[in-house]
Amino acid sequence: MRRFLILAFVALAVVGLCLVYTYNPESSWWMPKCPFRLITGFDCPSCGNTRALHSLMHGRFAAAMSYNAMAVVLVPLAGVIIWLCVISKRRLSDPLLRYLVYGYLAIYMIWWVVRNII
Amino acid sequence: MGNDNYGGYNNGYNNGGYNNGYNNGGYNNGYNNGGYNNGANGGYGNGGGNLPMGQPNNYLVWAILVTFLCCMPLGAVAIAYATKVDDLWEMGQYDLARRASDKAKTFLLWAVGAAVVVWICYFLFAATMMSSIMRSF
Repeated sequence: MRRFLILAFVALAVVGLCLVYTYNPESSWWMPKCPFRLITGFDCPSCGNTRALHSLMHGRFAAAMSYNAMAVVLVPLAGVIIWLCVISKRRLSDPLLRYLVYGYLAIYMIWWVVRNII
Repeated sequence: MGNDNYGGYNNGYNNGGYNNGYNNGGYNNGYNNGGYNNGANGGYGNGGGNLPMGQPNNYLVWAILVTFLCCMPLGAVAIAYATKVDDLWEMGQYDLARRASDKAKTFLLWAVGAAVVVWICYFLFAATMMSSIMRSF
């Protein structure tokens, strides 16, 4: 069951990446939008990730940075945290994982405020 | 049974909690059975009492995924509860740890539910707009 879930997740991710590569999220209305932004009009900390990914896949680094600059930090950090949890099965009693999670949460909150002010 | 060791070791709560939670809880109980079976199994074989059988699931992975896929603020609350689960467990407050685990799950479900509802509403709205625009040409 667990293996099936992981497999399904990977398949979904591959399909998603292909869609993001082919269609520009900026101009296709059916691409999923951030619910927080739809309701409030403010950016959330991960708004622009899809557009940034699309630009990155087409080699436009400057455009990607302008959509969500902090994604460069937040996405790898999230990846490391998930890796530590799923693959090496660490709990939060492990100091490394604990500080990574606190760091992630802090950057997430600060970025949320800062990007709506700038 | 490996779990019989639990009662004996838990008095030295820092070391005992860490090692047991890590090896037994993390692998066998923590992930699959999470906060479910713990309560039911609590008293068996250990002479009554409320001795723990496995560390409750902290849902940290899901919380992280929700914060950057669904963009909901509730995901951040779920991360906070996830850290509380393991804290409380280490302090020996097993019931509170389980309650924090349930809270984390509740917030996650609300976050995902809210995101899905907003997406469906948006999709229906945008689809009707698009079809009416198409018809007018």
